[in-house]
Amino acid sequence: MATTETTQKDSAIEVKDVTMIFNMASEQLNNLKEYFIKIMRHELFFKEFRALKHISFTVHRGEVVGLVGTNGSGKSTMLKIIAGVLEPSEGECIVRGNIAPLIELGAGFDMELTARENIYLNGSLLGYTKSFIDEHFDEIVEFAELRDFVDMPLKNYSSGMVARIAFAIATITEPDILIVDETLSVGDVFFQEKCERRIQHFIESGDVTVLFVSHSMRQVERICQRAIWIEKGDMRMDGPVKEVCQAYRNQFGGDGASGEDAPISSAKPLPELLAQYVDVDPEDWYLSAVEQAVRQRFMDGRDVNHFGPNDPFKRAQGVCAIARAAGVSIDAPFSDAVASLFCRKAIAWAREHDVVGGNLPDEMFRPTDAATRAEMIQMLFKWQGAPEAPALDDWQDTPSWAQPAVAWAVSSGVVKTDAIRANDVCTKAEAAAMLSRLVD
Amino acid sequence: MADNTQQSKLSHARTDTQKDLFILRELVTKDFKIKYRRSVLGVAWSVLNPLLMMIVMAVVFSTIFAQGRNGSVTPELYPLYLIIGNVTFALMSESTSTALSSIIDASSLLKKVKVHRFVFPIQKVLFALVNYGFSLIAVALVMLWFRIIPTWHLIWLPLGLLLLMVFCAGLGLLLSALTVFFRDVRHLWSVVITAWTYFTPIFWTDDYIKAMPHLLQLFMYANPMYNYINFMRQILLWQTNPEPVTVALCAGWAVLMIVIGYAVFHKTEHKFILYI
Repeated sequence: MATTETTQKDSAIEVKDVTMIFNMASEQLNNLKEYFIKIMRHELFFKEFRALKHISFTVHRGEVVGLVGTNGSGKSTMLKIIAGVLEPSEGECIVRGNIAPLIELGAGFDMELTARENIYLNGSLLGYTKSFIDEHFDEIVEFAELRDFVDMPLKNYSSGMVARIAFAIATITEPDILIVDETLSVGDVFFQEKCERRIQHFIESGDVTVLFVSHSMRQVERICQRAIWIEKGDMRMDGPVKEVCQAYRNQFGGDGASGEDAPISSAKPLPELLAQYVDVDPEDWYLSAVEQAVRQRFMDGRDVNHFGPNDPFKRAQGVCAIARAAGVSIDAPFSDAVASLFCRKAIAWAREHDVVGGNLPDEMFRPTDAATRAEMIQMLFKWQGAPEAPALDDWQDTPSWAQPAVAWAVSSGVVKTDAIRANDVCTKAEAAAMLSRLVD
Repeated sequence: MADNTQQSKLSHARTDTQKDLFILRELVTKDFKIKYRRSVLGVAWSVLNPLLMMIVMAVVFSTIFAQGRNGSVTPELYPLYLIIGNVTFALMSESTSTALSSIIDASSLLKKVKVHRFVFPIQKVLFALVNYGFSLIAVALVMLWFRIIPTWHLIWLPLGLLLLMVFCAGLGLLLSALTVFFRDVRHLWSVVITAWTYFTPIFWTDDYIKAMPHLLQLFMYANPMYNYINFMRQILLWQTNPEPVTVALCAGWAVLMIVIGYAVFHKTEHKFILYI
């Protein structure tokens, strides 16, 4: 795939008129008998499926490019072609430099072998030299924080530990081209933050070409300079990130709903700010709170056209919202704050300012757990510096650890006296309401 | 992977060959470690196995073929005759039957990482060679037992092995490519190997073959494995230079097989990913 005569010295990836055709047999033929019977009966037909149609673009060295598109639109086929795993049916793809694909971590690991042996095996597959691995072996193990387990077979590792090793190997050297998949999530919160720092470092260095794949427009807008939009195998747009993302959003504005929430039909129009969300009921109690949360950017939608007011509010989302309300800039898209690599900053901030912590018995934040109302109130309470408040007459079923927080919340009007419901799961709309009352 | 002409980074292999060699080395080491991990005798099995096999066959065939053999191989030399034929044939059968499914087994890797696909069949052939090395210890033990001192004709051994490896590599490439498209090959091949065992003079001695019907004789002599085994026997057992015709046939088969194998593999390899 390498060409020595570089016409454009600074281009890292050149995709030239690439078309990818899959022959989709109506059924998979895996043995000779089936194959011959089909040939005899003249039944061997293939349906042609074009996953990519005449795609061309060039990525220059040091550019950070986002690849956007809906599911099944050909993004991952494109990535596989760039990574050299798939060969295009037509056209060509020239890649200059080594690629660190952070898509499928740990491909080629053998569970029977120890971590030490796997580091060498995986390193060889990534194209490292033996002396390089020898030299950086300690660094890899140090980064993965698995010093005590290097000589243990991988099958005894947890999946998080395996992923850590894989991430450490793939990023031990500054790659020429880095492919980052948003859904990448490695290990626990603290390790994720470490990964994020390393990726950010690569992006900031300016030498690394980054290809970033995400469904989240906000994330793409923050990180990338340029975006390429592939839809149903066609290249829709290639240009400055703002324009592409705007166009991508607009398409969904007109498209109507797709998702589990039925669109809400109401005579009353939604405020302009919330117009894109089909699941926000303009007549419901939460409207002003949600509007404020979106206006002040504490929260945004689950995706481009759903806000999810009745979704259970995740612990990580709570931290993100508070951090944003406190004026900390968080890159994370709100929708998938939990899965995203880039949300860890919020949790780190929250730990530092004692918004969470203290009650983390196993050092796990459990970001994906839904927060109860009591937990949400507790976070807000601690953020406010745990002010004193008079005790209540009626605690309802508030657990004792949350009583000071609930007392404060009632006295400051963050929650209403008759509806503490401390053990209920906090919905997104309720969280929005608490936050906006507090900020007011 | 790419041309780092201006400032070749030391972290990555400079050429594809360098990268492939390191991968092959790691993969063969992996096979080796996995094969012998947690077995008490470990590597010793690679030596013991051909020895035990030889003893069984020597006992069986010495009795059956005791009459009628008029001295082309003396009874004292018969075990050595057997073990040389056996280990050499095992090298071929082991490397091809493991190479056969190598591409399918590596599917998770091939779908995710850019690697030259041929390294997987080659890996299996090389691993079979490593095992062959241990089998040679068994051969040496038998020679020691029968007080046969190897002569300088041993210098032909690398050539014979090289030709056999090339032959196996060609066959392995061909089979691994075919198996991707037709999984039946796996079942078929075990039958072929069994048949091939009987059509190869592993336990037959020359005087038996001469007594066979004409067609069967032709089958025996045209058989590529006959030539490779013959090559080994000439240098180890008879301790002569291999006959020029044997060398020529060995080389011819090797070249033919690698050309066919590589051609088929190369022509189909870009479609593998759609079938694995």
